[in-house]
Amino acid sequence: MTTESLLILRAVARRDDEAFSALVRMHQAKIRAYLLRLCRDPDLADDMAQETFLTAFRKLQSFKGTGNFSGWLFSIAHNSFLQHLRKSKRRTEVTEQYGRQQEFHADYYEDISEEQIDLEQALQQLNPDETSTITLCHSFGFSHQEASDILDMPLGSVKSNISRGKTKLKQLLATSKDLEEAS
Amino acid sequence: MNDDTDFEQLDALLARPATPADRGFSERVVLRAGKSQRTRRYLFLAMGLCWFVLMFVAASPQAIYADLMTLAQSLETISLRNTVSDQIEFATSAARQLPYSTATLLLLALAALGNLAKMAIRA
Repeated sequence: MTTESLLILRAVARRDDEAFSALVRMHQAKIRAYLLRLCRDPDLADDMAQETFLTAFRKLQSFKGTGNFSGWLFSIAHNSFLQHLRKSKRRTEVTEQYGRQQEFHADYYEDISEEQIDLEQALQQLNPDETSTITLCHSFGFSHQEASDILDMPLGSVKSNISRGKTKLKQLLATSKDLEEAS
Repeated sequence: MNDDTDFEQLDALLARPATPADRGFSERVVLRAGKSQRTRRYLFLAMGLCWFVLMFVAASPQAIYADLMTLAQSLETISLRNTVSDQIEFATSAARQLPYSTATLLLLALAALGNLAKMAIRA
């Protein structure tokens, strides 16, 4: 049994705060990085991440334990993002924002290289489906099938979003490299 | 540089996502989780207390009967009855004036009854 499984058991069976705290520390960076890539606002990303963990804590007993705990958390986080979009009733505005350059918050990260800043900025130019599929499969190691389950998206759409998103990213990164060289 | 190399470089870069700094995030979440758990516990205790109070009240039927009598007296039953009869009178006279079939009138009567029920609930 892995440490994570033991912590989940402890958090479920005994409502153990320490076990829950360890689970939060274990997963917070990935969940926050994922949500920031989607919403591009550090405060909002943190709020949604907090909501994600609190929902997970409330529903911990419904987690079957057979699947991937991390995947379960990502699906809660993604639903929280979608809920935010619906709530704000500004879906069109938010969608229009994609493709526009946003202010980049390098101080949000522990340690970030120039290359990673370029990547994060390029990811801001993609649409949410492309960003989420690429992040789940290429940054956090989920398979296409797992991403399809997390996002509740057909497998074919996951693959096409990744392919389209990566082509865009490649072009965007090449452009930013050209610009750096020219300056 | 060919396409494959570019994609390999991109994959390598994507595989090293920047990590957000914790900056007290975990602590805040655990604190909030503990708080909501405590709130739920207090709510549960309060509900339990209410249940006990109800049990005590139910244990004495005579006291409940007296309470119900007081409640019945406090309700304005006469004004409610007047409103109901006014509604019925209005509905039937209106129905007689309209050139509708019996089925339509029946539907209208049903609607009026629904209206009456709503008023009774409000009263």
